[in-house]
Amino acid sequence: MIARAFAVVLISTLAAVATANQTYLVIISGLGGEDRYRERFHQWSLAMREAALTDAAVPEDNIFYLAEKVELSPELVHAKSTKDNVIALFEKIQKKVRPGDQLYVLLIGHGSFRSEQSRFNLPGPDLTAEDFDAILAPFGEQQIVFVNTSSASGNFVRILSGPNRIVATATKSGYERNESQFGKYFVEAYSGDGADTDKNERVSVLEAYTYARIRVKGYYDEENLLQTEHSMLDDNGDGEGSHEPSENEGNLASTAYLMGDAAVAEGFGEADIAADPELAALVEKRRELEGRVVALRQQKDSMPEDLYMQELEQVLLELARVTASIEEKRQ
Amino acid sequence: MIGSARFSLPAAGYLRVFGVVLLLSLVFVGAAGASLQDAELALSEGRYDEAIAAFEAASVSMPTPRLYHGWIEALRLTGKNDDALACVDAFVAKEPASVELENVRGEVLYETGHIDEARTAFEKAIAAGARDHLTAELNLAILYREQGDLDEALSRFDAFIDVYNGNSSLRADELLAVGVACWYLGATNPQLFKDALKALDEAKAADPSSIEPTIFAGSLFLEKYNSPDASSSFDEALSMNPNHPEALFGMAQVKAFDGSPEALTLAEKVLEVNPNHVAARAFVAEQHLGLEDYGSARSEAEKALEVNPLSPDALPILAAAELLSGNEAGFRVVEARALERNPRDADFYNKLSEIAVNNRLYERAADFAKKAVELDERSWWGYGLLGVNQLRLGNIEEGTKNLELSFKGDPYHIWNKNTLDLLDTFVDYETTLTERFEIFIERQESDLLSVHYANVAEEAYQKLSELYQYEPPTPIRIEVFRSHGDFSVRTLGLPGLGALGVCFGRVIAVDSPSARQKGQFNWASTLWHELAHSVTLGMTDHKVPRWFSEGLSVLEERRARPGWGDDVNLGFLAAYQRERLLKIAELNNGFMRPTYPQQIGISYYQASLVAELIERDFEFQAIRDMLAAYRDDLSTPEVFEKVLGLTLDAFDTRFDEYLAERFDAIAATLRLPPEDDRAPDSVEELATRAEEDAFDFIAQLETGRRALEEGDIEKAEKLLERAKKLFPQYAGEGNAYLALAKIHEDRGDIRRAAQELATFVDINENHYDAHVMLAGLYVDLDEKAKAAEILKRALYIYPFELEDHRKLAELYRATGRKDEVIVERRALLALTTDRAQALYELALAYHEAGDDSRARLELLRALELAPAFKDGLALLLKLSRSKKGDGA
Repeated sequence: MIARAFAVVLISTLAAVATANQTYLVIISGLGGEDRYRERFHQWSLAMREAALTDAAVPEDNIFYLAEKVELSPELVHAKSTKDNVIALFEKIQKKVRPGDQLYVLLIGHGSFRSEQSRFNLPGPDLTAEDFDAILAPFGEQQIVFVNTSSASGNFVRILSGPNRIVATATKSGYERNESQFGKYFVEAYSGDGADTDKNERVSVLEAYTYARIRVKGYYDEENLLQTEHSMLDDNGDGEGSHEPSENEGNLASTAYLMGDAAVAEGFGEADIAADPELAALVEKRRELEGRVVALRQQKDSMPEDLYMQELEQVLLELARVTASIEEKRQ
Repeated sequence: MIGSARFSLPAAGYLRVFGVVLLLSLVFVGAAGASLQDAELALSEGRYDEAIAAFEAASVSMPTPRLYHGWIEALRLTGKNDDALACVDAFVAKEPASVELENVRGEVLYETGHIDEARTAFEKAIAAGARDHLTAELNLAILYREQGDLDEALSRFDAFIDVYNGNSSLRADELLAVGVACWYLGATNPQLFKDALKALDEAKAADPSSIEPTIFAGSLFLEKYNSPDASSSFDEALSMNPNHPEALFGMAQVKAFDGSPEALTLAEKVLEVNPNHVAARAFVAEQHLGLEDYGSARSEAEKALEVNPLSPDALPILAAAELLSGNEAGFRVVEARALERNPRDADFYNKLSEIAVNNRLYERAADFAKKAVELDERSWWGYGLLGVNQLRLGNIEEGTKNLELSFKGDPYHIWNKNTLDLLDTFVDYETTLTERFEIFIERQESDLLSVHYANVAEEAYQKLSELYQYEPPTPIRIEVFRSHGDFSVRTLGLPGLGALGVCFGRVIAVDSPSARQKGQFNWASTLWHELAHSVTLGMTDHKVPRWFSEGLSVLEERRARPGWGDDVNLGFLAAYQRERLLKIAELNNGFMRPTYPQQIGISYYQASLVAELIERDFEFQAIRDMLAAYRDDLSTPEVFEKVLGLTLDAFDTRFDEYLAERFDAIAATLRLPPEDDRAPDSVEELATRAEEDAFDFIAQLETGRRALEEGDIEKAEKLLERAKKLFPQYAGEGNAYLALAKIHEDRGDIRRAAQELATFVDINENHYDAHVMLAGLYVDLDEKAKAAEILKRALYIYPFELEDHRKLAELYRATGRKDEVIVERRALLALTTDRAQALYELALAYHEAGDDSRARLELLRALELAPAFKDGLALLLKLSRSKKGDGA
């Protein structure tokens, strides 16, 4: 089981090298109800937008932001976040995406749960989980990351779960209806420091989810409150989310980044690499060595500890040298 | 610290209260009926003198068994045993053929230690088919049991099951006998405890006027550690008869179980009603043992034994008094006397085991419990005591095994159940071994806490053993509990213990800092305190009096770090001014039988002052000598006389002078109101007082704080400074230091703000925010070493803030304390979610401390998680080059 999980990691990482896939980020800020919420949701949305644009190098044309009030930032908000506008936006994106691209949807706002239906509250009619399922149906050849940070969002996991889909919610069910903190920390994972725990200078969806999950718990502990939200993540398509993803959950999310091309994070564009065969070879070599560390790690339990550490050190030293060479080129 | 009690039903107690049931169920006849009714009413309401007089008067015209039963009952309940026997004889003289009073005769004889004569009387009642022959059967079974013939006794108790099953119309007294028999049979099948309660309920239903079923139910509940239901039962019984000695005694035991000082008062009330109540006298004697007043305990136990020389209640108390006062030979004599009465008297040893626990003699307690189970393989109480004390001694495996045995035999024992449940969770704990300690902490906290606990514990051991010139046996096991409930169960068996730590000698149990809210306690000073107990208990073979051990532990806390250990507070000064501080001879009462809410805390501080005074006037060697004297079984007056050359009274006088010298001036500023329930002074009144009386501490402080709230900074500063000068040790709620620090900080005067906070944290060891704030101010003042010191002290209060460890690591790094950097980096590793980063920083710390081998190991662990980690890879290259350089 563990070997299978790591195999997915390796293949996905390499797949990212082979193609220059695009991320399309859709941020939908829902009905605030009160100014303080409206402002808060807007700030979180802007922070996510900025992180995607700056840190993850998602092209600006690929970022879409719908908000309750366009006038909050007319230059950044594409349209009011009504049901019709949301549907129209996804129809527009559908025309742009290619197979293998990533569609990343982030809902920030209030949610509700009535008549066994989870809803994301919008100005005007709400969108239910089923509505979103219909909206996303045409994106069968894209990886979908769908994060609903609203209260009572738990049911979205069951409805939206599917192959090549990562669904995260702030709550475990529709019955956790209190104001949720998850969105704040989920955005902070991308906009701040501390979420990139594997130090590859990118934040995976799993890292962002884990960061938010732990911070939410810390918030309730610190405030001495009973925790009224328990986030969930599903990426194996079984419709059953996990609060703390482990072996069977989280593999896809661990390789899903806001950015399609890892090289961008290293300070090189595709053009740089294409123009310098030596750099291309170094980047390729580094990925291969990273893959070897992952593969070695899979064998850890079956190897004598001394031998394992010895081999690990060997690979890491080689990796260190290659990385140093890449760094030299960058400078 | 540990208080426990067994509430098993003594045979004599059972036998004593039986007669009334039978009496009331007899058919009423006789010309003098009105007078008899008056007598019976007086008896049932506890007006015993009236009852006795009325029965006597009525007996002239109506010498019936019913009358004599009532009369004898009244005499027995008031302890007039000789008169009771004379009464029986008088009846028999009138009715030579009657056996109706033989069972009662047997009961009185048994209660007064005339076992053989009692047996004869019971047998006579049974053989002749007396109306109360079932009761006599039960009494005979109990007698066999108490003589050590357990099999015969069980067989006789078992017969009561057939009596119940074969007869659907049993009288109340017969149902009561069935209930008690089932209680005894519960040792073989715990289900029968439920049957016992059922039979008692039926007995009560059969005769609602009967008080005995309710009293027995209360005792059974209490034996099963169900204090609330026991209390309800005894309450109900006392509402029927407020002077019933058994109901009063039952309630005394409930209060003792609950740790209430009312227990002794109630037991004394029993003795007012019945001065010959052996169990109550033994209970009072036991209370003296708890207070380490062995002389009084011996005297009370001997009084009880004058009534019944074979009392199973009094013999273990006398034995314990001899043992605890160091008279091993005397103990052996009493032990032989008990075993002569009953060669299989497991409960004699069980009781001794409990008393040993109350006096912190855990090894002895385990030894006694072991003897108990050797004598009676069904002594589930004994297995429980053995198991719990083995756990206290650190023998977890054997302790668990014996507790499981106990619980199998008696699944109602909630203490054992709780402890076993806790032991089940031990799989989630980790043990960290250090030079002298086994530190046992729940896995999720172990990485963080074990290193800090280890450092404090090793330092404490080193310093205390040097000072006391004694090294406690090692390893010492330190158990740290994340849940206060678990800590409480580990130490007491039940949740609800107010303490933070308990020392059993070689095992210490403490609350984890996560068990309480931040700022409620200082885990490091708590650990130091408990380790000081390990020293003083070890030096004295656990014979040091509680007050002295606690006083020394508090003194050692104060010696260890600024701010640690109790300091003078308003409660202490109020107690001092109101002359509520206890004399040395009574100081144990302050810990064990507090009579007002703050008394325990005040007693800790007072005891530490006693220790402080001894050290000041007689040098520390005197303290070592006193501990040695306690080890040699000297009593407190003897110890003071021998080591200090002072009687206790003379020392008390000197101590009073010491208190006056230290506290008179401060206490005078308190302007304490009379001790009544009047409302506190209004704001206006306080302001007036502050204006009129510059030496009124509370008025200055409160008015100063109010001025600060209202923004009148100048006035606030003036009043707060005045309050601070009047009572500089005051660091409690609303103290002047924090307010003044804020005033200075707001003005931008960081140095003065830091000075205020520095003085404050040197008094208050628990104020986390003040420590962190002060560390920040020192950083602003570029005093990094001081900042690090204060931040470290903050971690002694609450070690779970990641940022504190990060800052501390940086401060240590800046001040060149490389080893401490490693400690803090390790702590970060336990707290952070960014493990690769933390491992990298730890590797860096090792590298900077010159340990490249360890640095490489930690770095590989970091890169194993995060192979793309550029900083980590760069460090790996650096280490590799350095290694090659070394090789060259």
